[in-house]
Amino acid sequence: MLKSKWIDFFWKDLFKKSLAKSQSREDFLQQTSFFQGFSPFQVHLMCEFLHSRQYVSGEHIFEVGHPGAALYFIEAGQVSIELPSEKGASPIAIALLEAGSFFGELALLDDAPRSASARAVKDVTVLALPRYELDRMLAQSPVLGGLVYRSLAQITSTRLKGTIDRLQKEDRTMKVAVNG
Amino acid sequence: MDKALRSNRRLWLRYAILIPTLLALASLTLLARGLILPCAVAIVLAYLCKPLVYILRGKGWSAHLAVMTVAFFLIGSVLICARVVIGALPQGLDRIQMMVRAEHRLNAKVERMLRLNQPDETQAHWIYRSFGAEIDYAMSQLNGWIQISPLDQHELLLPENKGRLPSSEEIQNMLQENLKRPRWTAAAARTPAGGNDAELKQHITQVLSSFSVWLLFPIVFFFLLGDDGSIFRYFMGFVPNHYFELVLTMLERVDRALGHYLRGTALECLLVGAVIGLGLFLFGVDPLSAAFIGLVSGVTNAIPFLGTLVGLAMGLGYGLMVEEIHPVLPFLTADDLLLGVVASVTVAHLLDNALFQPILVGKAVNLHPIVVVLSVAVAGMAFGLWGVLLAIPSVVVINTCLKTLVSGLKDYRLI
Repeated sequence: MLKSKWIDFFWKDLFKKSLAKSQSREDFLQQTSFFQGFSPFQVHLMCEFLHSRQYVSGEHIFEVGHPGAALYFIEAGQVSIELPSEKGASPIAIALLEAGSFFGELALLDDAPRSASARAVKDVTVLALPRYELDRMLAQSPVLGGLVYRSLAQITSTRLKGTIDRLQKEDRTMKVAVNG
Repeated sequence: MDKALRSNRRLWLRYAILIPTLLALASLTLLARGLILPCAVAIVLAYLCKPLVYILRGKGWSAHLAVMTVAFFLIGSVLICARVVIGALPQGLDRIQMMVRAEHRLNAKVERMLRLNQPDETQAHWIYRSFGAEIDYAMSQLNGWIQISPLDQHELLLPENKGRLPSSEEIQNMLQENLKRPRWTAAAARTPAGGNDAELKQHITQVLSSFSVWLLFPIVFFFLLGDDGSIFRYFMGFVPNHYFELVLTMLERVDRALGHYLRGTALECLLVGAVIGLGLFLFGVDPLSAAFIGLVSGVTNAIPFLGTLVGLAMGLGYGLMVEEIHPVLPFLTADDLLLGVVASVTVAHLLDNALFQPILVGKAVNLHPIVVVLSVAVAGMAFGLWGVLLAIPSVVVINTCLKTLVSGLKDYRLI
């Protein structure tokens, strides 16, 4: 413990954020749906792998076609998820995400290009979890890495179910329209 | 108008900051170039040891305990290896005896092989008749390396030393014969240590100066090994938002390529060393010497082409000095050993090129041989032995960075 204090004395202010800031970040993460089922200690460990980024209003966080590398949690602000439209027309917004939401999760599963763009609607602070850091997490804390992957699987399955339901609904509507 | 003016001013400001910063960084790097090597070695070593820390942390160990354990084992293994190697090296009269014996056997064997012990030189082997001057020069150099100093010669020939050691009479006879052999007089006979005070002082100053520079090594190594990603996150904070994911992708690919290269090379070195060692053992080299030559060739194989050359040189040296062999295949004689050394090293080299390298290292390090040779030569000229060792990993990093950067910039439609 004494050793840890000595190391922190020289080390913590050089690269680490202040304790109060990290505590509020942990509280924020604990409230997001992604970290449901994580213990406070596991959320505390998660902070070691997150990168904080600030974007001004109108700035792109990522654009469609760019190689994806991270999942983002919105700490503050609003983010619009957009698809490109015809030449000249403004992009089509498919979702407006508030603080506590997350996006770009598919980048953790593969390095395929982004399927949509994310743009800051207001000034935004996000916490990025890069795929590179997730690999480090798996080596260093396999239980935590497993929990993150379980969360990812749950989210992907929920979204897949939603898409299937919507397609079935649209299919039924089309059949009704065709049959008169 | 105002917006355009502000944008223009911002651009000028950026250049005004960027150019002096780059110049300051370049001059600082030039001034502190002596520190680059210890830092680079510490970074590579920390990178290699990091997975061990992760494994221990994955088992629930605290970060400090994991780092201390890995560092303890690393320092312990280096000390044990150094002790074993130093302990295995002959000291004092044993060392002198070994060198006299080696010089005697080497010269006698080469003379016999080239038929130089005939009274008439025209009966010498055609190789000597064609390349006599070159062979004489090479042998004189070799004799210069293994010949003992005049002081040691004097000590060994003292009458009171006769019978002090087992076979000391035989050694004295060998030394007398060595001294009578005029053909290959040592090109550079050794001067006894302490013979030149100015040289000694200069040597001590050099050692102390390099020691002070290398003091940085453990500091960098420990902080990098104990780092929990804070340094990485700190520097990522400087990356502009637009390039955040591009830089992440690039680092991920560099890490993957470097890890692949290091793991593949370690396995490749192990296999090359094992093949050379096994080959030499089959041809009659005693198991301990075969293992030692295999180990040294395997380790030096991390530098392309060097492992093969080292294995060949050590094997041929052994073959020239040894008097009797105990081959696994009964029909082989001591004269076949040189051929066996060449065959073993050739087989190891062919297997390395055709099988080990493509399978283990693969396309992660698909470098052209000219690039390999040039980068090793340039790094050797600039940083000596450490430069030679770190040349290829550095080229792998630069190569992967450039490739990823170009493809990433294309994806980002920047080029």
